[in-house]
Amino acid sequence: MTDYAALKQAVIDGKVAQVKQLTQAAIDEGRPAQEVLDQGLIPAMDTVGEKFSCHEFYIPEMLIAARAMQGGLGLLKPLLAAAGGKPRGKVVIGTVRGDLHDIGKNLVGMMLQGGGFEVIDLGADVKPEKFVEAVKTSSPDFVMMSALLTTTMLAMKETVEQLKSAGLRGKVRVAVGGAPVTQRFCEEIGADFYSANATGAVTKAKELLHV
Amino acid sequence: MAMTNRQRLLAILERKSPDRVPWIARLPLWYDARVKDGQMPARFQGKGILEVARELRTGDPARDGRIFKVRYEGLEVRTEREPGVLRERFVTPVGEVTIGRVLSDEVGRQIDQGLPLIHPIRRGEDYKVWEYIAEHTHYDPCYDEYRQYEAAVGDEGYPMVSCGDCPFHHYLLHLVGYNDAYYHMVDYPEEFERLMAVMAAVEKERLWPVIANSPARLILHGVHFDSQMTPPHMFRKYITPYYTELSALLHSRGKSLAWHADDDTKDLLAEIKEAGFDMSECFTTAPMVSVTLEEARAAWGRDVIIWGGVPSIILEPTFPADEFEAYMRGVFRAIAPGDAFILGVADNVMPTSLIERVERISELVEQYGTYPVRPR
Repeated sequence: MTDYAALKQAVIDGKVAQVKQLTQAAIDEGRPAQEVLDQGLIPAMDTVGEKFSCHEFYIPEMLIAARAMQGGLGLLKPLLAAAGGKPRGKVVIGTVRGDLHDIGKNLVGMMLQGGGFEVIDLGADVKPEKFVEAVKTSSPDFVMMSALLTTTMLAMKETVEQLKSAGLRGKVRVAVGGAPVTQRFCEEIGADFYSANATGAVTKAKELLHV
Repeated sequence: MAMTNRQRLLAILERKSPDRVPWIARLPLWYDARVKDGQMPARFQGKGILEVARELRTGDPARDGRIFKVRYEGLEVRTEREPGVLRERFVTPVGEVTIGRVLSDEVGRQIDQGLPLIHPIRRGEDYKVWEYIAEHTHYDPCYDEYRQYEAAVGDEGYPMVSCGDCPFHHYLLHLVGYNDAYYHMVDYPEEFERLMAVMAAVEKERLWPVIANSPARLILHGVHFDSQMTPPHMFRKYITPYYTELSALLHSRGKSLAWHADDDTKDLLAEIKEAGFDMSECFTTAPMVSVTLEEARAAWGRDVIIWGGVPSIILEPTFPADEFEAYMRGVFRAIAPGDAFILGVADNVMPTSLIERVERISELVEQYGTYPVRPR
């Protein structure tokens, strides 16, 4: 009998091997991949997000839990695809041009995956035209950009402008984050939303897509 | 007669009252960018950075002094350059590891911030190599060089000498990289704990005496501790013991211990004080991070000197002028009566900063910064 409580706890505790073992056991029992995702992995990451919000967890614990979640997700992905399951939404994510800091971006990406989103990670030092190209080819629901430096955050504005020039701005929502980024800056550059942390970004994305 | 910047800083270190709030901005990034782009304002053209600082009525941050040189024995460091990347290969009898750094113009500045592209510890077997490197690292005093530097700084400031980082944070930032370091702590717990112990032992035996016996008065050790990346439980376990001991040693020699606080310290205020730090340098505040100047002053009082309080983002053209004024007036309210405080930009006046605002801060310091500072 599939023990979703145990699977959830293993993710929260960051135990990769145990998560893989419990996920495989659920698959072997014939549980649908979507059910394992919805009743095991996603609620676990929701709890991780709650613990982060109340300062019980910090980034190290989130990273370790997210890695464990990905261990299980890796087993489910081929089955989800074969079953024609659809992600809650699609996100193109990257750290902007000139900036190599990727921890925040990685964390947002992993939390989005834990929240049932498909994530296309463009990496760090991503030029505006690369974001534009990814929107053209992948038709995501969101472009999420991260910057840690006041000097590099200006590339976010340029990316928004290039999306406009390419006629894509109305087809995708733009989110921004990172230490120097503020709600005011988000509004000034014409982005759709700002989040101060990874859990906030996932929550906002879910709200906007009503999922 | 007005005090010099040096006198003001020394007064703060000695918990005495200077004539007014010391105000030391960090201009190198802004200055270098103007030299490079040819957009130096006419009034500063042909002037060196110290002359510009003088004209802006701020001081010299004096961070370029040193008291030791690092030397390795029993290993070889081979430097290799290829387009866009600089690699340092540490070749030892027990194996080799590589540090790689980006060299492109656009991200090149980040090298100064200690952001390697390739970290030396990537696998379990790399730990023993870095243990060997730690055990074969020596710190040769260069006190005369420091004395000359202090003399050259003169009355413009007071040297703060950078002496490294604690083993745990060095491991996170430089040896493994934040992301993977947390995984490594789970995947290689014995290797991690052993490396921390070896590095701490070597530094206590070889580095600490060199610092303690040096002519430097203000020691910078430790960088970028952050509520999220070094959360309270990790700070207490891996950082507090190191600094409790180091600060006690430095205090016994009449020295002060500072750390570079260009991060969000909201959840670490108590830990920083308990670890024995005398100063948080480049202390960054909201709206750039979540911690406020008021919160830090309430937590630290006169025990931990704050050098900072001006987050660089408020100098940006995108930050409204009226809010900049309101923020700065709030600073004087928060620091009253002004003890244990040095006004500074955290962590730099950036290439895109409005230099007029730096000058405006100088005006405000002259207007409101006279001791004792009164809340307004």
